[in-house]
Amino acid sequence: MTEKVILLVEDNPDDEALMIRAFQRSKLANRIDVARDGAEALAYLVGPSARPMPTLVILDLKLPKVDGLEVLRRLRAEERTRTLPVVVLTSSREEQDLVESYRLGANSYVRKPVDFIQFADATQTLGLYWLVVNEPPPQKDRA
Amino acid sequence: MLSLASPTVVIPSAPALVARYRAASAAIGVLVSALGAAMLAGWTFGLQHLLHHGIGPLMKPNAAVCFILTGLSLVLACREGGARAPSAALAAAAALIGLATMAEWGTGIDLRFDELLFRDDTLAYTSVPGRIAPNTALAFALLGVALLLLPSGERLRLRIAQALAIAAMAIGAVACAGHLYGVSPLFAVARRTGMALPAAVGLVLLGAGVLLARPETGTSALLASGGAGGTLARWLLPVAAVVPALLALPGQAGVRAGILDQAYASALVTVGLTGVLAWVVLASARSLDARDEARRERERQVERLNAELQRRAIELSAVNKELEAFCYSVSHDLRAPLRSIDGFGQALVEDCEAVLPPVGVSHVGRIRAASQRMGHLIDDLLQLSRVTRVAMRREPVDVSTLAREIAAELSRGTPARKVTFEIEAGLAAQGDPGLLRLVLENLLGNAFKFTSKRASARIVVGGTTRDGLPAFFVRDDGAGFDMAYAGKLFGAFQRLHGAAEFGGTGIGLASAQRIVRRHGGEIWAEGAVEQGATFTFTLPARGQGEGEAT
Repeated sequence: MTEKVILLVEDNPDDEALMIRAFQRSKLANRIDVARDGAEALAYLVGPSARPMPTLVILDLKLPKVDGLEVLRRLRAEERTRTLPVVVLTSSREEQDLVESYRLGANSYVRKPVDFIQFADATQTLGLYWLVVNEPPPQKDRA
Repeated sequence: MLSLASPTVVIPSAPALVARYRAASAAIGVLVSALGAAMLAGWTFGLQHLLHHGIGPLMKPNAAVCFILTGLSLVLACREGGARAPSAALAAAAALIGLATMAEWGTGIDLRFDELLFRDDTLAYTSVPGRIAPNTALAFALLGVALLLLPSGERLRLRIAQALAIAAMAIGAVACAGHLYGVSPLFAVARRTGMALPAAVGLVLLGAGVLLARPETGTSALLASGGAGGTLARWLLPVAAVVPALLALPGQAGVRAGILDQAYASALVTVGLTGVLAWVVLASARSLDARDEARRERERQVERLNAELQRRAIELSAVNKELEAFCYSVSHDLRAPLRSIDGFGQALVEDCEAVLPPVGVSHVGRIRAASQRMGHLIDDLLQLSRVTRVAMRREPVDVSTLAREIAAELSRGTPARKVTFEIEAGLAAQGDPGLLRLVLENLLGNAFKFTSKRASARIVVGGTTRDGLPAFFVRDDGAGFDMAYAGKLFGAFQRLHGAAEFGGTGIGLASAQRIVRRHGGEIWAEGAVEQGATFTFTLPARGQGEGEAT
């Protein structure tokens, strides 16, 4: 079985640390790659120097350079990443973000709670569902 | 081309003019009745010969009766809300006399009512003694029918009545002109059967009376109109009606006296008429120009105001966009540090358990609680700002169903509590379903919260009215509040209870108030300490109150 990698697109190092901490506590020993902005995420996923496809992308919306919604739009436009599971994980509760994310083809939308216990729960549930329960779409070039 | 019968633009009548025309119409009714009565008096006292040779022939007794009938009918028809039947009966009688007389002329059959009142020994203007002339009879038939149609407020009937009155006026006016110029074919049909001058004048007056009786409709509306056309009509019509006759009178007197010949008199009238008309036209043109200028000035003013309004609207929309961006940024950025405080606080407890004494753990607990509380405050503040930002819809909302759903959610949330919800069936409102749900969630949530210290509680949702507006109330029998602080209830972050007693951020009622106000309604609270609280809000239907348009 190949390793299931998570790509975390997150510019806030605190959130990144907390997320990795939550994954570790939930015994999900997956490798987590981090992209710090939208451009980095796109370079990772599409284009000439693309890395092997991750199993799941966790995407923040408010990002430097290229914002999350734009990243999502471009991923859905590419043949290679059209079916890649993308979970939007953001602070925003604005309806426009929610609607726009789903319209652009997000698989899920999760709001980051302030309470770390709830945050850890959410991360754990997400990881369990998308990495263990969910059957991912077949990828021709998965590493 | 100006069409009097069907003006394409209807400018509202000036109310003062309408009242004045009505009064004038009634006065005309009295006048022609008096004319008829005077004529009958002349016949009664045998003055017909004397008057005939003095100033001219009297009208026939039946014509005098017709004037009394139609005049009284007009007076009654002018009285607002008066009984219609008497007016109609009088009008019908006059019309009948007119029609019967026409039938006599048409068929040659004598119905034996021409000399019913008085024997006609003057033989003036008639080939049949005592019989009304055919043109007079026709005019009375027309006016009688017109007066019959008048009391019905229906537009078409009023139009017909006015057309008939105008026709009768024309008959009278032609006869007047005939008398003025001594041209008998204009007032007499057969050589010796014609309309007496008093009758001709009376008919013109009566026709005008019928027109003025309903100044809001049809042709008369133009005379009562508050617009420039109305002013023009009020100026020109009297001039057109009176001036030619006034100018002709002295000339014709001169012709009769043998001082002037007819052509000379006509030339003088023509010159005079031209002069008067030119003056009137210039005067009305000046008046119209002045009005026009005033209107243009008002238009310019409206344009200026409009431009100002547009500028403000653009400013406002820019401010709104900024606010939107600000809220978005608050939503994203203010929460992130809180997450770090909370998360790393927890990490501190977990990772440094060995070196952190219990009091340190307790401190971290307080730090975490505070950051979470701030998270809730930010959420509530955003919700409060959202209720004023979101576009509002207006549609029918089933308040009862909404309240029942919320009540069920609340009960499900805390199944251990014994709360009875009494929700009136069939409560309906007009408004934004999402926002109204928020109002009810806040009010019912409050009622639920502030009864939580009771063993059992009762929460009532019902409908009422306040100042004619539909209103809704939520009543509980919980902790209540001191009416002295009622004004503070709806302020953001205002709380009347300590956080330890009842939780909450103090945003709910502020949101509810903003939503209700956006709907053009009001919200208020009544209560007493430990005796429950009642929150009531009005929701005007569309068109009531000053509801927001968006």
